[in-house]
Amino acid sequence: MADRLNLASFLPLTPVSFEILLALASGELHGYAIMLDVERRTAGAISLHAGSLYRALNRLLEAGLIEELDERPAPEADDERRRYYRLTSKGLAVARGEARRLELQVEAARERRLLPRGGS
Amino acid sequence: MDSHARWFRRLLRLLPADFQADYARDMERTFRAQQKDARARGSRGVAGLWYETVRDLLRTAPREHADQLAQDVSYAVRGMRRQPGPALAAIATLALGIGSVTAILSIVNGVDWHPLSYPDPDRLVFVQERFKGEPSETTGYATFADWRARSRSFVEIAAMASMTSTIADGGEPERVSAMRVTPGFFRVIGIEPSLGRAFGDAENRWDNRRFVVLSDRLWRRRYGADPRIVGRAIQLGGRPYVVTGVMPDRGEDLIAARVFAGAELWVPLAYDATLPFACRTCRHVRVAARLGPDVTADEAQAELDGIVRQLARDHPASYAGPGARVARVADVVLGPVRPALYLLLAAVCVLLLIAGVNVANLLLVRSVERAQEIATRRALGVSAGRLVRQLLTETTVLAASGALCGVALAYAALGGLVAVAPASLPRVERIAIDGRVLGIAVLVTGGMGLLFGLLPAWHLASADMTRALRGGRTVAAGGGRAGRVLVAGNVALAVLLLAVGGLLGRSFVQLLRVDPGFDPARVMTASIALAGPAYADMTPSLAFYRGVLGAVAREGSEAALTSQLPVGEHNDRAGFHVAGRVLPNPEEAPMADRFAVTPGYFRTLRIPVLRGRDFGDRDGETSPPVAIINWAAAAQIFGDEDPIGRRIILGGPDGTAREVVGLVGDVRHRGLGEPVSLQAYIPLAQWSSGPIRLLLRTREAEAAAAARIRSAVRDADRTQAVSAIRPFDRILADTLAERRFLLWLVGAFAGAALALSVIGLYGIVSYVVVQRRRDIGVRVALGAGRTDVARLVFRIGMAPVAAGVALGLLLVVLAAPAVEAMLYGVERFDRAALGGAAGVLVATALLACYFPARRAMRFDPVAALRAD
Repeated sequence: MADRLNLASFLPLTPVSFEILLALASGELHGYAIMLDVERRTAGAISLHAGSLYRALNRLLEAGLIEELDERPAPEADDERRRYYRLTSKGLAVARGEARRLELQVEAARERRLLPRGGS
Repeated sequence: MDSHARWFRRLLRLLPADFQADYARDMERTFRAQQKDARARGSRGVAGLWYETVRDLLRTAPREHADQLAQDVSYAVRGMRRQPGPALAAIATLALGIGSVTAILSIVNGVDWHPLSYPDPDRLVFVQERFKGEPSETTGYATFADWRARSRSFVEIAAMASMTSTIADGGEPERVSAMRVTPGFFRVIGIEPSLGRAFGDAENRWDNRRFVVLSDRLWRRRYGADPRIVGRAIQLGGRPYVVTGVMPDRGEDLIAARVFAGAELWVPLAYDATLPFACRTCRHVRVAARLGPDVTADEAQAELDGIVRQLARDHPASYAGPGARVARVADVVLGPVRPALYLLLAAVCVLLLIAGVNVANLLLVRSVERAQEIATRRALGVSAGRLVRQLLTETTVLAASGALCGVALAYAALGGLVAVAPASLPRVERIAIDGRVLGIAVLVTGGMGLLFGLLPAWHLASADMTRALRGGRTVAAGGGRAGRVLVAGNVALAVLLLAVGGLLGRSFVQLLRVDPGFDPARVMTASIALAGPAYADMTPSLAFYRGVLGAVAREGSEAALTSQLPVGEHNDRAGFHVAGRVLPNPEEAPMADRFAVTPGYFRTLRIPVLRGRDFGDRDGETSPPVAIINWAAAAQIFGDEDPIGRRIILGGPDGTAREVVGLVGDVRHRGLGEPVSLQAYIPLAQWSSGPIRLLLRTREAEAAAAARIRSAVRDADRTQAVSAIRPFDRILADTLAERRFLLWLVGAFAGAALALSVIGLYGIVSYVVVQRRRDIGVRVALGAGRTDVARLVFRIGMAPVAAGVALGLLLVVLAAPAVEAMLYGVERFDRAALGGAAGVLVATALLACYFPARRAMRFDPVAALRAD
């Protein structure tokens, strides 16, 4: 399909891009929340700061993988007027594609005994 | 406000403006949130956060800028691909301008800007005497000795004289140039032998002077870089000279190369006051010196003036119009070439200026065409700063492409120029596009890119945006009229250069047709200078000559010897006196070129013997002295009387009287374009020993003839050298070398000026056609045919061309007196040259108008009318 061809051109994603998409997979977030999420999940291995975060967000926006929100989500979760981001359908498809790619890699790693078999 | 926040905001300025506009606020908020959390961890947390944030920004900002630059470049390239015409025109124009400047700059850099390869070369000077008020390059040894004794300004001062000799050992005998120098010479140039040592005072005595220092090149070439050469003796001029040292390889030795004809050996001068040729008025010695550490050239000059005055007072008879000057070696050797070089540089800078203005015009035209596009982008929110930056990127890409092509062009052109460079241009080996030249080219390119970018930016900033959005014409930047004036000027320059080039070219062709007075085809020439004590007398020399002639002449070849080549060198002139006709002032006797020749000389060169006879075997050393003169001499000296049988004297009026036994045709000895000189021939047997030239007419190939000459000389005497074996055609061609070079240069300039005017014309006509789209649309709607439209476009384009051609022809008329001196056989208003120049211009201009005319013919009148 034309869509699949299009997706393949995005893969492989850079680690930072994938982490941001992962963060947004759980819902709509603003910049700082994305930062904290990535920090927590990777236990500090990938830490984003203002410059690199918004540079990556800018690129994902231009690629059409994420979009800015016009309305804010539930007012309780909000503080001040912040810009929120969420995945587009294209972004979702790309994130899935990347996840599948990584899964294949991990399987191959298990086969060649780089990783122990069975999840651990 | 929080000072942290203020500092963060300042830091954000590192990022591109657009990025800041989009994300600055969010970034500030995010940072504030991070800070809150960090404060909870204490001051170390805050410091850590700052450290990480700054590091992150310092890494991100350049990458963001680079991304934008890449975007701008790709946008620019796409734009150029969509409309290649104007882009190619601009690139071609810039390539011409930058390329020609780069080429000439390389020449100037190599010849003049590179310091000489002596240590501290600015302290190295020549000391030159003034003789009869005129600067003289040489001086007498006694004068030099007094200068040395009395001056304090110099670390060392040395005398030098020339010498040619034959080296017989280590291979084929070879003729070499040498310098005879006083021992201080090596201190003056600041270079000591790298092997062994220079000669000292003990070796600088006339009765003990056979020592030699070799050049690195000679040492490698003849002695295989033998490390034990020091202390060995070599055979120089038939005598043993002990090698005391070998000079290091320095790549370039300007004094040896240009002043002493490629000297490769240094021997002691060994003069002293008792020798007759060391007198004050025996002016054949050159003087070089090194200024003391704190002495300026002016101070040395002042001291020298004082010394000169003293000497003139003490020996008034020896110094007529006394004086001396201290001049830097670089100035003396390179001075004669500098005016021409810098004139050339100025000329290409003018060319660059024209090219630059042409390109600016082209870009202005383009910016007018793109006004709508720009206005739309502004309306869509692209910041003015981003637009300017993008325009600058575009013009820089254009300029860089032009510069790249230009440097490639320069590289190719330099190869050609160096090949045709005349021998009078020094340091040709140093001409190359090196770092300095490239650096200047990059600077110029960058400057032009910037300037061209700012021009349309300024224009667009001042244009009416709303009108542009609606597709209307923005205010014409006057590009129309200014552009047309530019084209006219360009065309005028091109006509001038083409006409001058045509005149010079025709002169050159005429010169090539001149009959030199003899037939040089298939004649080989070689140079022999007998060296050694065995040949001090004429008799053994004559035996040698007969041997060589006998060996070299064969079935189908003819050979002869002469003291001077008929063309290509001038080494003997003598006063021409008629015996019995006493002139009131012998100094006013006409000068004739004197040739000592063997019988068969005239036949070998096909010079016609018009009356009387050629020399023969009967005209030997002890036979009555005879002479042969040329037609011009007969006509000038004897008028209608028969010169045969008359007696003439060559040299001073009390020399040997010779009977004229023959009359021969004229030879263009002074040059193909020069009037014929008086020429007198005497038998070689009745001449004194000296260097001679062998002439061999043969049907063999060059290499075979050369081999035969070499073996003939070897058979006659193994220790003698033969040199400069060349076909005569080449010698004749060399006499025209400077003319040829000039022709190439003018031709190159004319070509560049022509190309520039064609490109400029194309740009202007395109612009005007676009500007008058509506006008053309109206005409077509009112019934004008396609040919009418085409005619209109041609009229627009050819009007400035006509003006330019007229102006150019006027310039030719004005420049005529300057060019006249260089013409030969061509009138300065030669119709073919002038007509040809105008014709070429008109033809190329028509071509340049063709494409815009074609575009105009295809205009859809409806669209054109609607566009406003």
